[in-house]
Amino acid sequence: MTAATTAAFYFPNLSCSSKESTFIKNLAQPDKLQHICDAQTIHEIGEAYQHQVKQESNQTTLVQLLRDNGNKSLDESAENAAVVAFLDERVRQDFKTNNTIVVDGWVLSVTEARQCALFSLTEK
Amino acid sequence: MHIDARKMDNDSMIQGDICIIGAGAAGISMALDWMHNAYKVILLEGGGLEYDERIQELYDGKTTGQHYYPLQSARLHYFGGTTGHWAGFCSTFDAIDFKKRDWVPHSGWPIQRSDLDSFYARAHEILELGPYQYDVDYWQKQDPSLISLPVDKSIVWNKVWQFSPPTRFGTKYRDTIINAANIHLYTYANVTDITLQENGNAVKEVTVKNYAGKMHRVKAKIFVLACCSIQNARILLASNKQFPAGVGNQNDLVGRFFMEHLEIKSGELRLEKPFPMKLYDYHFGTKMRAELAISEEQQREHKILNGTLSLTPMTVAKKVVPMIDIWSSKDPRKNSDNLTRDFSTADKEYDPAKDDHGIYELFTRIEQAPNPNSRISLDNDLDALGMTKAMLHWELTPFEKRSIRKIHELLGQQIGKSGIGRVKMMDYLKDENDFSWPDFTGGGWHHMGTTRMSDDPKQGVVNAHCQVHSIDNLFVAGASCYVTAAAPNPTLTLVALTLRLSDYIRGRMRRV
Repeated sequence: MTAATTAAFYFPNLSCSSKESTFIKNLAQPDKLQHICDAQTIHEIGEAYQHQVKQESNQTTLVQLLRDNGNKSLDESAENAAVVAFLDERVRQDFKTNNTIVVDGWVLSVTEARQCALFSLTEK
Repeated sequence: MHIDARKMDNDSMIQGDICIIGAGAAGISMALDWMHNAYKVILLEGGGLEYDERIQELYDGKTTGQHYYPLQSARLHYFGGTTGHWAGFCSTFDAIDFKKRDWVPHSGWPIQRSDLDSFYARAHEILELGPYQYDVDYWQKQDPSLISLPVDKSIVWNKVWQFSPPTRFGTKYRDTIINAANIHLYTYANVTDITLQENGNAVKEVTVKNYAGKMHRVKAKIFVLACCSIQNARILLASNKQFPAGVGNQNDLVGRFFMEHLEIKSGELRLEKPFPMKLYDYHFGTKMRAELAISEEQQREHKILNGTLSLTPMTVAKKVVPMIDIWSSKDPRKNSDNLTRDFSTADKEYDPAKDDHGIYELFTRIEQAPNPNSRISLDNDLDALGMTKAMLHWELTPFEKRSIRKIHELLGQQIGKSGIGRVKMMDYLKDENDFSWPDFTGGGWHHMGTTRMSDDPKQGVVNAHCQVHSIDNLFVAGASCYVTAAAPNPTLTLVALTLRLSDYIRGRMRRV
């Protein structure tokens, strides 16, 4: 576990800093889906994912899974553009490697499904 | 030559070399192929040259199982048959459709796709189709604006459909048939019984009846049953005075394995940016289009049935009433008018500049898995000519639904990979453990498989030459011989298969 992910793991959700709060919100924005469906739909996908993958149904786990791709871990100080680029690449890789999941009828990359789940948690 | 069987003396004897029973797409295609030769061809049509309500009532029958269209209106019963209102959709079967697939029980034809090639080309002429070309590259060379979605064709490929005008056999070929000296068309000649020779190995004669109270007999060297899948089975089963199980039914196969194409809205494609979709468009007058199909390798890997997805702008699709709701009357003309009005209204109102929001309905067309319990049998009721009515039990399985779901998943992965959008399947497909079907589930009015083909009499009613096993001079033409249904509409293949049968019979007659 990297220092960054360790830090994320131990930050309590309700008392995170403004910087971390922004970081989490940036992680919770599925770039492609935002262009083709509304916030309500993304929220519903997120809730369905939480129901479907119960072990990931919390903010801490989702943040950890989204920021860390195994080789690199995003720092919470990362700019939004860097977060988007990082996650877009992960989404591309997911589709390339068939790391996909059907959630609420949508055929999605696992990464963007997790983003939806995080969105539904942060937008509660 | 045309003879109205109602006007003949009762108990007349009609004789010829070959007797074709049924004047629909199969029967007329065969008759056209036998014109201007030395053989006397008897072409029997139960109806007249025009629609007749009382004749149409002879197709009435009950249905059980999966909700289906009224049998009375699911086929047309007059010269030209159901081509009187077909939409003209044509495509060839794929090589995999003929193969034994270990994940599809009862699959595997005794012929291969290549056996039909030359006959497909000939069928194109009869159906007034364009060039015998089903490779999308060919069409894209003719029209570079036909652009493929960016999918990996080793997984999802563009399967081409061509559209017949549509050819209405009843009007297109009426004069040709009537003016052919050696073709003797008898209308109002409903075959109600087949009589075999005493040894049961050959047809001796068939009995025809009509509303005028006339009954005639027909003798020929060769008989070809070409009445559509329901009626072919019905005639064989109802001809039970010599053999209680009926003709050709010693292994209890006649009527079984009834297949339809599931044709059902199933999902949506959402694009991030506009994409030129001309390749996938269908409007009245379209000559060709592509549907998205799954490669043989992927079907094999995921153990799924063969099916395709067509794309319709959601603004148009939303205005179209499900076929199972629109086709609810016993009067086929009323249903057909409603259907045409519904489609043409939606089509005319569509303005690509205004209505194309990058959202497309995905509509599945998929083969039904061969299922012995999905079947035509005889009811206890009799029709007005005293013939036992047919009854349909249409039975689907979880296999079809699992396949539809997987097809969407595979397309969704490809669309996601290309980065142009996402695929969403409809609510009824969300739960992979739910095998129920929604109310709008319908078929394509494509009846197939009730006299399936096999070299083994215990597995099929007819052999690879469409000859009824153990009955030397009885053949079956049409989609009832299909072993599996493939994804495409059946007409092109049934005409091709009929022409193949025609060649075989011609060769056999020459040898005699």
